[in-house]
Amino acid sequence: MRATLRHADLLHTLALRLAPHPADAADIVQETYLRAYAAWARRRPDDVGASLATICLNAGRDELRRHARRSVVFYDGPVPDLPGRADTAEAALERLGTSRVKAALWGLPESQRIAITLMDLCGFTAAQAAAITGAPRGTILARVHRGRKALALSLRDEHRPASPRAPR
Amino acid sequence: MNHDPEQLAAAYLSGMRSRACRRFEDHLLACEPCWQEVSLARRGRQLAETARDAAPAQLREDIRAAVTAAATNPAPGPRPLRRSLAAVAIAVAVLAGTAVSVRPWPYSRPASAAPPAVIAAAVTSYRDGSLPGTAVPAEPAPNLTPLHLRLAGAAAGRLDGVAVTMFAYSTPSGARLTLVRSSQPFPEATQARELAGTDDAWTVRSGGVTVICAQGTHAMLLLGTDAALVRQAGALLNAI
Repeated sequence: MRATLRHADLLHTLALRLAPHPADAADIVQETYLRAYAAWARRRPDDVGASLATICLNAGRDELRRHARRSVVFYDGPVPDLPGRADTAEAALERLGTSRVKAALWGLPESQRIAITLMDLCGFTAAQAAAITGAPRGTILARVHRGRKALALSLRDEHRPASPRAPR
Repeated sequence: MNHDPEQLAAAYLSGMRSRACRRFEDHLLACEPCWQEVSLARRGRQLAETARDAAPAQLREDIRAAVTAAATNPAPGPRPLRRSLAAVAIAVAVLAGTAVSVRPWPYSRPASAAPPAVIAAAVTSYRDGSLPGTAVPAEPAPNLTPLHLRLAGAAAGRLDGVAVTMFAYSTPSGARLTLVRSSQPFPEATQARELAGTDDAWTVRSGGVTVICAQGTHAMLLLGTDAALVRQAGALLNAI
């Protein structure tokens, strides 16, 4: 259990990119572990992290379908993580920046958001991300690259630009 | 050089072989489109990496408890899982090493003890962000601004046939809390745990939502995913 629970952060990060409600993300992670223990009755997979991520992705897609059917009255999608009164100015600015990045991630097409989440947030290689999603490695690379560019462009005005090109 | 900057930059950033990498880096210094592709994608990767979220400590406890419950109570719950006896046996064996740290509440009681329908309806209403009706409440909304909770919605209606008034609050950071009042007492959930230091208040966690019930002049339910915030609201309202 300890060996699989160390993947909880990774799965939580992935689940948060699949479901806008934090409570739903927590449910997806919990569901992932339950499905994993049911599925691994005969044989434990070689790559536990990638296997858990695959299950999480499927559980998250189920949750997205359920979420799409719900009627939301006063809460719709991720709410910007605005600073509270007790925050220091620096912490408040940092949180504000992070919440904009998270909001920008939600603005990406789902395939790019998932590819970026798997590679940049969860730390999977392109080959692992390809195995998890079932897409070819080249497709994953293209999705990640386009997603990264879109993210950088959408937040270009809010963050410091990249370092100027070094002189040759 | 006939090339596709996007494809080259994507391959370069995902880790080319060292020889190809050196060749591309030489090319990069002379090719503005490739330089721009790499710079932009690097910036995007930096930004994306700031969005990592650590799982809340409570989530790990919930996972341990849920897997323990699945192992000890193979009866079908609200989630139809295809669990075989072998899976349950493996889960028990895996958990044996960590049994000491497994918290018995709230999952150690029989899984068949689903919360009463009105409690389940309140949890569903909270999770869906819906109100039980459209009637204007006869009573004013309790003031929870000391906890930065501002009123987001209110309505009188029915939850599983029980007449209730619901007030929905949210904080600027997006945390939500729902207060449900009724003139009828709420049935106690089988999995409920008494709240220490109170006469008749109880709490239960259902589907990631913490529920606190206090039976005063009016029965009251407080619901939220942030257990600490729910407790603070209960204390502020002198409910617990």
